[in-house]
Amino acid sequence: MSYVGIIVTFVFVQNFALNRLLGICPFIGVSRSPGTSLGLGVVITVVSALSALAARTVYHQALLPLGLTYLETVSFVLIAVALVRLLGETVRRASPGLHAVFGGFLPLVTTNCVVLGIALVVVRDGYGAAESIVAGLAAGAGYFLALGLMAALRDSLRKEWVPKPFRGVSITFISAGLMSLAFMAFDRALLKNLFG
Amino acid sequence: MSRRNPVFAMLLGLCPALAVTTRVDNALGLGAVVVLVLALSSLTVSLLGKHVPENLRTPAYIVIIASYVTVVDLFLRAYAPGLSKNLGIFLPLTAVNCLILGRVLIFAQDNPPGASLVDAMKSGFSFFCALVLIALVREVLGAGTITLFAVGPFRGVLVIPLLSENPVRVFGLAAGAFLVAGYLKALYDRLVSDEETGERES
Amino acid sequence: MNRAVADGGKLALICLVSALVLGVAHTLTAPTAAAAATEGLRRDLARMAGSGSVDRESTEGVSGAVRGFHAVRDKGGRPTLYILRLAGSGYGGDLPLLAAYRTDGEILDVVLRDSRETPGMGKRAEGPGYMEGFIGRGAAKPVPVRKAMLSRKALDAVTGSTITFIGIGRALEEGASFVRRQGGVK
Repeated sequence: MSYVGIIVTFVFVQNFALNRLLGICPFIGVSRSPGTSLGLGVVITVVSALSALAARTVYHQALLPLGLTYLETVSFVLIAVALVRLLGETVRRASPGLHAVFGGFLPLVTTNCVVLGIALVVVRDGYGAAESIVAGLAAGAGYFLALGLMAALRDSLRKEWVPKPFRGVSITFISAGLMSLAFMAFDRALLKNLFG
Repeated sequence: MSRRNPVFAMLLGLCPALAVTTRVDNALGLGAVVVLVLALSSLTVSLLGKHVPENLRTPAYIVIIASYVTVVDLFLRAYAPGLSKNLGIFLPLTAVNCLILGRVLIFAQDNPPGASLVDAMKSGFSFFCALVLIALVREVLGAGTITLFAVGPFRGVLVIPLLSENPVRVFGLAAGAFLVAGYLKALYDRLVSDEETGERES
Repeated sequence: MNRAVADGGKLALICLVSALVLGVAHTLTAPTAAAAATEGLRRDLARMAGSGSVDRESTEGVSGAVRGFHAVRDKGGRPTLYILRLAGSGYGGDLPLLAAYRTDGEILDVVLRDSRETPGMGKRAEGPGYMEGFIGRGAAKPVPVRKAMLSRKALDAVTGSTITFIGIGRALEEGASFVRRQGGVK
């Protein structure tokens, strides 16, 4: 699949939060404030691109030739842990200012479904090295987009009257559902014109 | 449905709760996997207890959980290939299920094995119930069927007469998962808050 | 420093134990898993072939989406149908298909094998009714590769998985022309 295809697929059609239903806990829980969404979105985009590449490399260079494919899950989880620590250290040394802004989100990312999810997806679907990075970036960006939209939506919801039992999380779920419906239009319209 | 249901009260483990609940049999399968992995990991972590250094707890526990998940995954591939195929990447993703890691970090590491096992069973069971409830609503409305496991002469699929001819397809899609979760959460909040006010008055 | 080495050692030990446990689990389950996989393929082949006898898979002259084929012969040894192993392109990666064709290229049966697409959208391709839009096409009627080429009822069944549908359609179309070429040669 071409790079454009990968980007369109991962950002819009198979949006990790809205369509593949990955990383929902922070999507529902963290999207409360725009600032938090921004921080988490940026960190997840960076980490999932790196994790996709690292997972693919480890799988094809080590696990597959050695016949150890059953260590897939354990090694990908370890990769995510190591990446997050490494990234934290590097950013802290290189730019303490940046670390102060984004550092707090790093531990949250270790166990995020998006990071492990993209690693599993690029390996199972047989992506190449460059394709993996693009897919990781696109998946992260799509997730970022969903988080941002949700934060903006919740901000406007605050001004509206919502029936009492629906306040808080329920209305967020329902808004997410409507957003997911809207994203389905990409599948029908955009891709029909692109590929049809 | 306990008052501290992991899915509805604490919003833990939402990805699988939304993603695999298109069919009841998948929900039953993944629910059972989570209960099993949670019980085994709680037991292991509780036994390892103080031997794991403070700053390595998260990685060590994730490796333990991921190993149990892989063991279950390998056995499912061999003995229940259909279920393993349906669950797809959500089976390995159980390794980062925040419900499991949460129970292990909050409870199991500081408590004796027996208590940890009981705690794991409790949380696991309420997670299981939430998963099956969401799946029931989604499959009945979205496909007009209830898919269980085939046993003997029973083919494994209950068909609901009128609904199966004109199902509300959206409930089977990702959007339907969010909508069902939203309405169930509202219902849950309503019931729980009623219960709380009731307790206060009495 | 010693502390860090000791800590690292403990983590390494946990990983080692886990790898050993998984190795044992893998050795125990691998033969059954492999058998389950071939058993599924065998069952699909047998169902599609009906009373005919199935040749071993051949990869002679295959290209593109066609990855291999089995000729199914009647008692006289004449090929009555072809069962093709195809790879359509889905949302990401291959969609492995098994499709039975009459010798003139008409599609008799299609199944999606071992799809790794995430449950949800792509998975609908495994549901009943999804493949109905393709059956009976390929010879007189063209294989649908666009939603506009489907009947209203068939359209409902594939809604929400456009790329999967197009991927399957294109692979099946390639398969149909491959089968027609086979018929011409033999």
